[in-house]
Amino acid sequence: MNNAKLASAIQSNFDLKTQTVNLTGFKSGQVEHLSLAQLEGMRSARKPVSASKFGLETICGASCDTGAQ
Amino acid sequence: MKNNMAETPSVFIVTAHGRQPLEAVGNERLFELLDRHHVPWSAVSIYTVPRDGGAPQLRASLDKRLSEFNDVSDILLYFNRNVNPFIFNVANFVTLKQAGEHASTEYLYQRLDNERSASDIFLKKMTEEECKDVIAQRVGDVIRDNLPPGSDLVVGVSGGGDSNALLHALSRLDDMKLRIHPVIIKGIPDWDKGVPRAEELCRRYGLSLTIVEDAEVQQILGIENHSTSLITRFEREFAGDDFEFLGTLLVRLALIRHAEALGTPYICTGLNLEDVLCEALFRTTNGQGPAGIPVRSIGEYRLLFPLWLCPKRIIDGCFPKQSLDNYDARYPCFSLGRNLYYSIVYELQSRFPAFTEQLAHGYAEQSRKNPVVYQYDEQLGFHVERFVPFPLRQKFERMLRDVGTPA
Repeated sequence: MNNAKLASAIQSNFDLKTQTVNLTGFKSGQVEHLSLAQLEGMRSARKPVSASKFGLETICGASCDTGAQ
Repeated sequence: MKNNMAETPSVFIVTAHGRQPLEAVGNERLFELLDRHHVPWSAVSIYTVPRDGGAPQLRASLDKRLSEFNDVSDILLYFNRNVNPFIFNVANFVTLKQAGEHASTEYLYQRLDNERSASDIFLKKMTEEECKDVIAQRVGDVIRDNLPPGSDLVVGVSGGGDSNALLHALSRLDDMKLRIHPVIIKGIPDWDKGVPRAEELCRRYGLSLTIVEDAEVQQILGIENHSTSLITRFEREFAGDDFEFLGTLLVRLALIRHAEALGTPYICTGLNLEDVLCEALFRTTNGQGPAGIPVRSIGEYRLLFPLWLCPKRIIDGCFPKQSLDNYDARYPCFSLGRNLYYSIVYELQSRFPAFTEQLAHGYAEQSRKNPVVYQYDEQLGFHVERFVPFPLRQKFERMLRDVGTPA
């Protein structure tokens, strides 16, 4: 993505707070097909969720792993 | 007790302490009924009593609406421990009388009484001045425990509510005779917008604000070519991640640079109660003990979090206008982890207001007993806690050099 498109995406994110959205995402009626083995895999053997999507806390996190300033 | 709708069953939560009827609303699902009464779904087993008689039947029915129980006279929600699920009902608060003035915020205080095995909840409405008094006391505790009088303290500020409250609190510590050195960094819009607010606040307290311009911020990171903004570089290399993670590093490096010039080891940022718990919970799930709370040694510097026992709600009550300006200048957070750990902290805090401070104290004590040691990374040029995997290091270096991801 070139700089102009990146800048536009960044500005768009910044402006989100002024826009009416639906974040509640009610899923009634949706059907998923997951086996018990898959579900138990999620529950019992799941790796921890990194603080940052890319694990940036490993580099940046001495002052706060979860990004507070 | 029967509900008004003729066909819908009565609902009881059955505990070792007695049977509590629960009022249903409309044709809600059992899930909503439990949630509304603050009964955890994971703590109950659902039994139904047939209308035509017979033994209660165990039924998996969290997603069922009351109208779907035509054949049932009673729904019995057996609480699966012998504890009383209603001791800590946070909705049973008593509103404390307030002395007349306009309240800028309110907070739920919880008294946990071991003698009575009881919890009392109080809603305290607070004026700006009350908020400032609370924050000043908590900040004073940390400063007096960790700094000798007469120290130079470099303070990271943003112009937002947390740092403004911090500066105000520090300005009230006359006995400590501190020399306060506020520093603000620029480079992304929400930081830049905070500069006028920070300048105004520092003028009010007679403090000299150091503004670290965008170019210097990039130079601190080792970026030589300043043609691309930091946030654009970040978005290109770490799309979908949150700039806050880089931000905390930049603030730290800027504060350290300034502290080095002053010859002081003391730096501080505005991490509040929810921030320290968010980090500590993440670290726990990652198999790590808590990092230093409320102070951690990074190299030869001591990073303090004077607001560590201050809830953000009370901090924001100190300077409501600046807090609102800060909210208006924010980017959304997309990383799942940051969303998850903050959400957990807020749930805990909202349901058990006294518990989060206890948790913070516990983590603080653990951090003192087992301090984290940071190592200087020669290639990166700053301290890190653990080995940085090569792929991540490469991405970071590409961001600094702004060369883009290889095809």
